[in-house]
Amino acid sequence: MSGACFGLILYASTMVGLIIAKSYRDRPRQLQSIRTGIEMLVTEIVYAATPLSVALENVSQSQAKPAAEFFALTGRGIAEFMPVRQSWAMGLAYLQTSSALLWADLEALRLLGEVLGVSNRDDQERHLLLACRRLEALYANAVEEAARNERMWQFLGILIGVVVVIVIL
Amino acid sequence: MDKTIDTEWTSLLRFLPGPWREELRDLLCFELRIRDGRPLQSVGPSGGSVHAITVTSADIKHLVAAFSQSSLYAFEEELKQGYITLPGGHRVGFAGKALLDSDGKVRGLKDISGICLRVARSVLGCADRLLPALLDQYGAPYHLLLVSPPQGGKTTLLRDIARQVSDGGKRVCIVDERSEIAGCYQGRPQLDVGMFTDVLDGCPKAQGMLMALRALSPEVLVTDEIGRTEDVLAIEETLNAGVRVLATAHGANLQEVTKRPQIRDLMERQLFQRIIILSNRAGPGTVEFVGAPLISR
Repeated sequence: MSGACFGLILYASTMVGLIIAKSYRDRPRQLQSIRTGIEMLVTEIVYAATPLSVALENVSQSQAKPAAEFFALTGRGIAEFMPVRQSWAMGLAYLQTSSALLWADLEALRLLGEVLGVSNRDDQERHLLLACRRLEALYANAVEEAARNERMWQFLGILIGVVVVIVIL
Repeated sequence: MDKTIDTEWTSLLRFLPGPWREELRDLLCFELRIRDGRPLQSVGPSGGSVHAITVTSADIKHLVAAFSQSSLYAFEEELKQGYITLPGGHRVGFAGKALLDSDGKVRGLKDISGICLRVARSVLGCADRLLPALLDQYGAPYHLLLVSPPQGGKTTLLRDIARQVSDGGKRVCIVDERSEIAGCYQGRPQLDVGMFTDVLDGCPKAQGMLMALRALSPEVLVTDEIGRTEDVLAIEETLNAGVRVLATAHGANLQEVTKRPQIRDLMERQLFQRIIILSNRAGPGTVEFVGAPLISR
């Protein structure tokens, strides 16, 4: 096997390691961004009584991707008379493919989508704050996992590559 | 009264369930009455008609979500009154089970089983023929009380008077407690109420009149359906501030209106300089009387 093949194996394994490390690094940031967005929704819904589609659009403008796109997609669906649950699920499907969020993170968001817009402001506030608390706990867990795994995967990728090359040799 | 009815029906079709749209596309409609499990009913210029559509619970659910933009919290205050206002000023009334707070006051509705969609009718120019009798030599309106039975056209006429007075250069403020005069949606008038008009939307009349006096410095103050003691006190305050008042009251005629002690008091003190009485005799907006009030003490 040529040196080029070994180089390719090392490159591929290093990249896989870096991608996994990046997902550990991105998850807390993305969770934080969504939580901030939901806190802004509290203001939009509870204090300004802004209709959901407009509130989500406003929130999306102050966040970075992928949170911005999640809120914008959901808001657009609602503006086009799509049921909130369906529109929210569309946003979650986007997060599933375009973010570092895990199933537990998406599940916490899905629960919020079940009750969004269907009750008075007091009740909406309760559900939004509950979602914030859930996301806060997930964020703490994501920070812990990032501290434990991010650096490890940065090196583990290249290390696996080296081991594979040695085994082949 | 000349009428050019702009139903804006097309703009309302998008709220309705898909299968209904084709059936109702060309309808000339003033009201749509939607009741769970019963046929759809519409009211147009030639009266009521029943359609071959049976309303389902899913239709009601769809309509409530569409009309409220899936945001019931945003219409909390309006839902306490049993209605919400749509873009265009159209009015959606709900029937269902009332939710009461600990004081026994209605705080909302649940299990909605009926919806009444009233299409906003802006009749531009309906005050044209009456206006000369309503303005003084300086072009300012006299203090006016507009009396009519329900559906008699008093709000439509009041809106057009306000529009014309405003477009004539007067600072007009509308205190629109039930969003019927200006048909505000998210604070913006959806019906033409004039170039120089401010609207206090959803604001209790008496409180709103005093707020307008302090904050907006109007020359003319417009409000709908006066009758409570606090309304009368606020009107007195407004008159003392030199602001002209245009108001309406429910009633078939002046005798009926003046049975209410608060309004009788205003009339006896001749605080209103002009009275318009409308009826439904030859259709909504039939003018029965315009002029200075003749009330014996």
